[in-house]
Amino acid sequence: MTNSKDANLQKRINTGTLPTDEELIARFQDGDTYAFDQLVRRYKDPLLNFIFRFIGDLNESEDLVQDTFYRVYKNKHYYKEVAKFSTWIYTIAGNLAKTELRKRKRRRIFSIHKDMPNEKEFELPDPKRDPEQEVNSTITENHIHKAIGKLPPKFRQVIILRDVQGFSYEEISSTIKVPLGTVKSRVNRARLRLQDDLSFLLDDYQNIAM
Amino acid sequence: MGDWDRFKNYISDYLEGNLDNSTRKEFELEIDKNSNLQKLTRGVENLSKILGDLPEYECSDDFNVKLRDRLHRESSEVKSPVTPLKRYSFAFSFVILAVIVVFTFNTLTEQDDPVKILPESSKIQSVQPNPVFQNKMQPANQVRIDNRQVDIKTIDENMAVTDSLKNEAIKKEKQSNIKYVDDIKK
Repeated sequence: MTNSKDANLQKRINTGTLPTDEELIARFQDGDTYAFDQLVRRYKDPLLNFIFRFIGDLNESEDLVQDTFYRVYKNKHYYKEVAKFSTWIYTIAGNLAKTELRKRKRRRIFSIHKDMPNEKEFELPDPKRDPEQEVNSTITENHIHKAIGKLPPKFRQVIILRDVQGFSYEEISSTIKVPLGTVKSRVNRARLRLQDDLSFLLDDYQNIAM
Repeated sequence: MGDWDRFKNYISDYLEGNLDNSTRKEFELEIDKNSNLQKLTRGVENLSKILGDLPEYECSDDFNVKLRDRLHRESSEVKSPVTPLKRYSFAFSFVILAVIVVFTFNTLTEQDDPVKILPESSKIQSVQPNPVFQNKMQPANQVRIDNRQVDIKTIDENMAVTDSLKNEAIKKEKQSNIKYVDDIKK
């Protein structure tokens, strides 16, 4: 597993040697399917993490990432360069995740079992890490994951995009089509709610940091 | 909105350096004297760090293969499109059914109309109802003939019937007049 916001940000920043997302989508619109493969390689993991933090089920999240790329493939000509490609693809992914949540609400399926993120079959433990530390971090992650799951969807989406995925406020505003001030307000309120739920964890974190 | 709510709303902007100078100083003064606000601000700061450090997951190894298979499957379905007949079969059969129903209804309606089933070579030009006996001297106890049934006759036959009935009526009137005169004479 990779593990930092900086690494995630680095993936999103295009260096001078690599084509930008907008160049790749333009090539794909002209028929270059290899350009599409490159976009898939760039965005599949960030989208997986975004959707997973949103809906809480890793397997379902992967299906939704597939759906997202399928829609990009079928509707490539709908993308216009007025907005960033990342805005477009995250809008598609966000809408699919919200639809899935609405379907679940109607079905009223609750699966605490599936909320455990570490049940992915093909995940291998890192032998260098201390087992006790591994357990603690797993427990911490589960608490955080559940706390995020309790947030209303509109707060959940912005806190994941801002603090987990590292989007700027402007990017979030254009992705979810909400004014900048509203985005900032939602992020702040989401943080305050999470802080309230996770205060026991944050106190420990503070003590360790000190 | 009280001061507490106001300063709570400033927390994220303060941590991200988005407050103007005067608001930032005001906030920092408040943190110094309000331990709850201080604790809350530290908590939000730690939270942002924890969220940023959450582990990232990767898609399964066969993700690309599954995606490619799906795209290939969908594109091959598009190449063999549904024929118009299959697509519109429901509408087509509904139209056929409607035609059959209308034809059947028209056929049944024609059978009820006796005029139309008669051959054109027939000399019948009109239909005359049975003449109702309209004599005012008709005794009240005699049942009036209310013949709704249509007798189909030729024109000549109809005229002959009418004439004979008229003659009969005139004869009867004459007889009744004669009888009346005889009674008076008596």
